[in-house]
Amino acid sequence: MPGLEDEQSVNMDKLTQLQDCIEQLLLIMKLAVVQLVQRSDFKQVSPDIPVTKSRPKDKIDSPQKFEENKRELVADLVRKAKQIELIIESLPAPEPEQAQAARFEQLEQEMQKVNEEYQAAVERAKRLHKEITAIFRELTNAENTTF
Amino acid sequence: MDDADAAIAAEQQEVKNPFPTPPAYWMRYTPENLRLLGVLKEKLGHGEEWIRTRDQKDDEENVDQEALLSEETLLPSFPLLELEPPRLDWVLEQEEYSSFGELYPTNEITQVFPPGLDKLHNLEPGTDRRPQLRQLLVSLLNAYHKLLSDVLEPVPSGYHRPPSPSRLDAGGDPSGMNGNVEWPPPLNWEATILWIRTLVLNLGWMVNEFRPIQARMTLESMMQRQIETRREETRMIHGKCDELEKTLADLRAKASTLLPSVSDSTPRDLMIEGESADLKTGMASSGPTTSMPSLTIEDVIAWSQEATI
Repeated sequence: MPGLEDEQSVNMDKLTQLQDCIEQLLLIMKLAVVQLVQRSDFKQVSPDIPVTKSRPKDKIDSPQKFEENKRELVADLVRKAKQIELIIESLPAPEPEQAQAARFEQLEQEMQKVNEEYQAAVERAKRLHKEITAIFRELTNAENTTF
Repeated sequence: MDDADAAIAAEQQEVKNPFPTPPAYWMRYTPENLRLLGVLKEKLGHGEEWIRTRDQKDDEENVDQEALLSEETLLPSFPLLELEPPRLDWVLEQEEYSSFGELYPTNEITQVFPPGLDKLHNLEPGTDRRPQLRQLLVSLLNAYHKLLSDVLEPVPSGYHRPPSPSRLDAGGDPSGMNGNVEWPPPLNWEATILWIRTLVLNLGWMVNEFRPIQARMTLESMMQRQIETRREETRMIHGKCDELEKTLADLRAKASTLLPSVSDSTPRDLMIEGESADLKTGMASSGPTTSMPSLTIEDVIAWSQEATI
């Protein structure tokens, strides 16, 4: 079982991470679409048809800003998609149920054995404790009777 | 009754509280009340079966707890039989129960793939999910790419109205269509958006499928850690016991050197090696007799100061 300890701490978050990344990817997509649709001005496509309408200037990004945003969005999108792919890669491969069930059984037996050993140790400690208190009691009694 | 009403009111106020207190009637379960309940049940004379299968009206009509428990003082204001656990068959009949002010159904359905959504993957439990996840991701990116160009398509002339709600079930239709559902050809981007939605929902579903696996792994590692902790504790206890035994042995050695006149059969030695039953005989015999070696108090103090446990 490779590195179950760190898997336990990281795996807990991996699925949540994955879900978060998917959400972020969708967000980036939405922002890019909004950029295209809502924040761009009309551009002259054909030399014969002039630009007759334009959008109000406060809702528009200038061409440089558009370029910047475009670059940023594209970079983010690609990075996020790569992240998602990495996380998917790192998810555990599936395992046949029997193997896992067998492992669980073995763990349980081990658990019981260890528990028994623990009990034995506790018993030993208790016995020692009894002995020691007996000795103390006897000591104090003895010193009383010697007077 | 008033404390039940107060409890309900308080409960309703706390419904939004993320850490609600338990329902107020927990205060009824005092030892005294429980004892009274026991007495009442005896007086009623019915067996356990009746308690479990009684009807509502049996409680109210037949049980007059004041009369039955007339010799007890300080009877509580509510019928004591309410302290019994709630009837499971009644709850099952009603098919819901209330917990912290919210109703939950009793027939819990485990997660089912939402009907009406195309299933884009096969969900055999043994197979590896990861390539399918990757495929979904790639499909998503492709669909998005298509969307970007679809969104920039020119709108056909005369196409003013927003898409009909039956085609795109995202939110309401603000302009209020006048019943004309069959709108001639749907725009490309609508279809693309629907497809993206399908993809994303499938993706989410598949990710959730991983959760049980994660839970199992967590369980396994928790068990491992527990085993190790136990082992560690056992080891420590044994270590401590060894130390103590060593100290005891030292003590005995000291005792035998301090009291060279003592042979192995002194009551004190007997007691150390024997069980607690012998302890008593040892003490009894060492009490009045003078065969007890004279252990002075200075010796005891010296010993107690050097024995570091």
